[in-house]
Amino acid sequence: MISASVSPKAGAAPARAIGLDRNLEAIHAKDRKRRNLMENLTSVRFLLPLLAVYIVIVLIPFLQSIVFSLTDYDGYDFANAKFVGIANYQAIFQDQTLLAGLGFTLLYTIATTVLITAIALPLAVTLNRKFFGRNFARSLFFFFSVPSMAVLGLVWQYIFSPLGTGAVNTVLGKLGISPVPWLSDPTLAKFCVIFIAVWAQVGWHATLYLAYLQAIPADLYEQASVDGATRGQQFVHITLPQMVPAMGVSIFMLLTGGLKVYDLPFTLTTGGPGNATYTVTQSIIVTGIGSGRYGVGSALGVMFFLCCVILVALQQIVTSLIEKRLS
Amino acid sequence: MKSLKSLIGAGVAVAMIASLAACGSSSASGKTELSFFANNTQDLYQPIIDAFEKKNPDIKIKFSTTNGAQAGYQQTLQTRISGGQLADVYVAPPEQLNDLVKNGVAKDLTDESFMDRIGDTNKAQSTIDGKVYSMSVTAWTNAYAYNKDLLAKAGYDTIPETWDEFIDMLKALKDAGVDKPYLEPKAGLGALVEGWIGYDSSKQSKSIDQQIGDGDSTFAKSYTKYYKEWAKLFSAGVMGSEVTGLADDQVRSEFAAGRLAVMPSGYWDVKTFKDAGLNFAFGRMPMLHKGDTPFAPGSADSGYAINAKISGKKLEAAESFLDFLSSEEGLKLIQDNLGLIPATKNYTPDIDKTFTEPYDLYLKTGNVYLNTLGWPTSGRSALRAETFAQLQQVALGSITPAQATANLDTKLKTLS
Amino acid sequence: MTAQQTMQQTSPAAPAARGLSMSQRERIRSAIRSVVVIAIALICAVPLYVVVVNTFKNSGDMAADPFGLPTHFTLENYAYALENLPVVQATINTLIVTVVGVFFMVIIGALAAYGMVQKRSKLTAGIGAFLMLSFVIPGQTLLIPQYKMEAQFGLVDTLLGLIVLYLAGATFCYFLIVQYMRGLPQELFEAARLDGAGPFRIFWQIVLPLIRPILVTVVVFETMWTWNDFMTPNIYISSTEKQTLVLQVFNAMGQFSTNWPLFMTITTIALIPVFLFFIFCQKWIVAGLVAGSVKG
Repeated sequence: MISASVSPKAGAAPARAIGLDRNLEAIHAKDRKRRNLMENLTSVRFLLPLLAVYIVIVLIPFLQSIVFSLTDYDGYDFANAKFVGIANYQAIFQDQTLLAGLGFTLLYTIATTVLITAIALPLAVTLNRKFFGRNFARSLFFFFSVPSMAVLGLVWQYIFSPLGTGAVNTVLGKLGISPVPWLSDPTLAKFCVIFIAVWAQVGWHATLYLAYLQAIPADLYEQASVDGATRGQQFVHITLPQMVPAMGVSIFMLLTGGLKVYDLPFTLTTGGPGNATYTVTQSIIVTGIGSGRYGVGSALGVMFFLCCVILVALQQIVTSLIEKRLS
Repeated sequence: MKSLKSLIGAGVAVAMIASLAACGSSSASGKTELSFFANNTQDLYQPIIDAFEKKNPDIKIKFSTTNGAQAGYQQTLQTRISGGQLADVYVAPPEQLNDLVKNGVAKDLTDESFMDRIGDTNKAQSTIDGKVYSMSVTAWTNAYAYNKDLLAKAGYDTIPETWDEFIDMLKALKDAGVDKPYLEPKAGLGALVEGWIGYDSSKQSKSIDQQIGDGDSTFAKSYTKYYKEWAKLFSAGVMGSEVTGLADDQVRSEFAAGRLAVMPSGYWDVKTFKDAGLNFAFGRMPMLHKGDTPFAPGSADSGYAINAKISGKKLEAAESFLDFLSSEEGLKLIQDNLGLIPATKNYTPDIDKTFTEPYDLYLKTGNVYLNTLGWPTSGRSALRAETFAQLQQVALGSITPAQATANLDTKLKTLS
Repeated sequence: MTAQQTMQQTSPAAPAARGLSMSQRERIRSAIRSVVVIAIALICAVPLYVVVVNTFKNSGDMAADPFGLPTHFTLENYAYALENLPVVQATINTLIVTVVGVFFMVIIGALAAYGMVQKRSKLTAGIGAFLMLSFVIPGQTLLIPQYKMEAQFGLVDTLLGLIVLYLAGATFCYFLIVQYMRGLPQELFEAARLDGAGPFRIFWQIVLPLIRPILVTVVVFETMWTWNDFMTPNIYISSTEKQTLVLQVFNAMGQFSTNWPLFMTITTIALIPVFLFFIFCQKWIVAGLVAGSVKG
């Protein structure tokens, strides 16, 4: 039986046992060192293109915006900007709308992460089993993620319109139910945004899980069946532990994607009603960049970045702890 | 692995096509190419450009635009300037004019001959320290679009003069079976409040919003009474809190479908409503007291500016383009295609007869007012967005008008 | 090896399928699964159905019953949209940007992932953590710095400039692929290396086929993302002849904002190529990975 997390060093272990002679061992040690270095170099060589892309397109611009955050840069000509120290950082803590934005961003992130994981995993397991129409169902679930959020937002705006002429309200009306204020009630609007986000992303995350499910060696299940394990037992003892890495990936994507959410709430509700669905990213645009206060916008971005780093680091630690316990 | 190889093959082939396409795009004609960055779609501008190029065969206009609402245009303009990619001629939103001048990208147009045609109100809005930096040839005003058939149900044939009468009319419409007598879009709540502030400002040496911007007054002191009046819509039950979830287009669709009796609108909607086959007209926006001079939200439109960094033939071409835009022919094309109302000295536009009442009341007299013009430039768009967010909360009944104005004061402080 | 064979060998249901005959219980279960899953899928598809079905109606028809089938079936919306939108050039542009962009971002990402799993050391761990940072950088703050950079290199208003920006997506590919690779038995790579194969040969001949499921997932995802992206071309592209399809869609939205059926038609037109691409990729998504190598 093959465990999914065999360390790369496993293959090298027997070689050491052969080395009886001290001299031989010394040569081997030297060899290993050289091999280590060589391996390091090869692996770095493979990493170089990505590092170059990342540094040029993401990192340098981000470092620049850190510089901007310490100036009164208005977003036009940087030559006119003056150094203002941490004034921009002080300014953002005085803004109440920002707090509202932070609240909803966190709610959105947590809710979508939990709901999507809870739905996508069982969905993927089901889609991985055999049944009639499986390919059709797989396609359909995946296809929800296809249209861009910006377009979807407009369509959902029509579906969840608080007027009697909205799509959902038309149906409710036929059933004799009076119009529901979908997007014009703070709580319902939050619900709608999260609902649509779950709807749109569940298919993609199920597909991601599906890719991992396909990598679970069939022998594991064969063995378990021979041992008389039930479907439920197989899920708990084989599927779930094997899916921990996949869950780590999926949750990481959901967390980082959720924290940075912009398109959907913006097109659907523009942050309203009131500030009910206001997000941090919208704040970066509206109070910073869109107002010719690029410095403030950058400061907001940098602060937000730091918060996200802490949150994501926590998630990574928790995931690796779970992985260690299971392996 | 065959499929992977063919995939790579396809990728490389497309990359080659792409690089070839990039090489082939340079033109070799002797024409002066003038780049023009506008805040409206190409199909609307094309007739204007065609007419200009016909008159000036040695000039070629390279049109570009951006999507999204005005905020989208402003942000793209800002980004392009930051990268030194500003077009030769561009639309300069009044909100940004200060920044544009400060960064030296708007040419001083004060002494250009075509500026003589521009009306004083429009000139004033494009003036900084006595110099005019953009040529604004049109003006806009809000007005109430009303469905004549629906109004007739309650025995009305036009919008009444005062706010209380207006609310009475909406009540009567509701009683007459019009389910939605009046709706405002969520990002346009309380639009007519600006008309009231405009009238009260006209009696003072400095506008009310200027006083707030300068720190002589506060939103709490000056805005609360207007917001309280506006909130009557909800207490009287003629508009529901569902407006906090309605986008501009949704309100317009309701009106176009003949279900909505009155909505705040403007000249840009004339064509849409005509196409919908409605029996409609545009009327006044009611004032608070009988005898108040009618005012409405409105201002000069964004003007056309010339990139200060161009010179020689390009500059000449840019000047003749602006000259064309402010000529009678250009103005007529602007009106017909962009749906904007010319406001210059050299041309009296033919106004669609559904819009004559607001045109006579507001644009002919110049009795229009825009609150953002009094606010500090760097915070305008954020503060405007905040007014809507606050009014949405008033609409939901979660805060009072007084709390809303107090919150606006807090927001203003964070922006300065 | 055909897709079906592969599927049978890897699917957890395979043992049962390989038995002499499918048990009665399994057959009933499968039927229930069909009904439940397809029913849920169809309910979830209602919004997409609303979009498509209304493209065949006029405004009045749609207002009367947005969910029903069209009473007067019409193709007028499509005719009007195709006539009034220069979709051909825009489709070509989008295809170029998407194909080239996705190809390079996936290759760069996969290469890096392979380099990463080849050798676990402090250096690679550090690089890994460093790369993860890109997921939490808010894109809004990068807007102007990135634009300035592209302007310096003359890449503004070029398709190449768009592709360069999209390459940032390689980090995403890298992340998904590296996590997936870590779950694979490392002996496979070791064995190939002992056979004397060079690292690049191992990458092409062993690694890429092994990670096909995740590769397909990543390719499809990046394709959707690149195809649908509106923000980047909206800011960077100023020439009409270089506009992408989504840009055209948004242009049109501005014009027809009160005509919902037309708006939905334009949306549908923009989605058709992606949909076709998806159908095309479906084969691979279903196929899964080459089971033989895993058992190796």
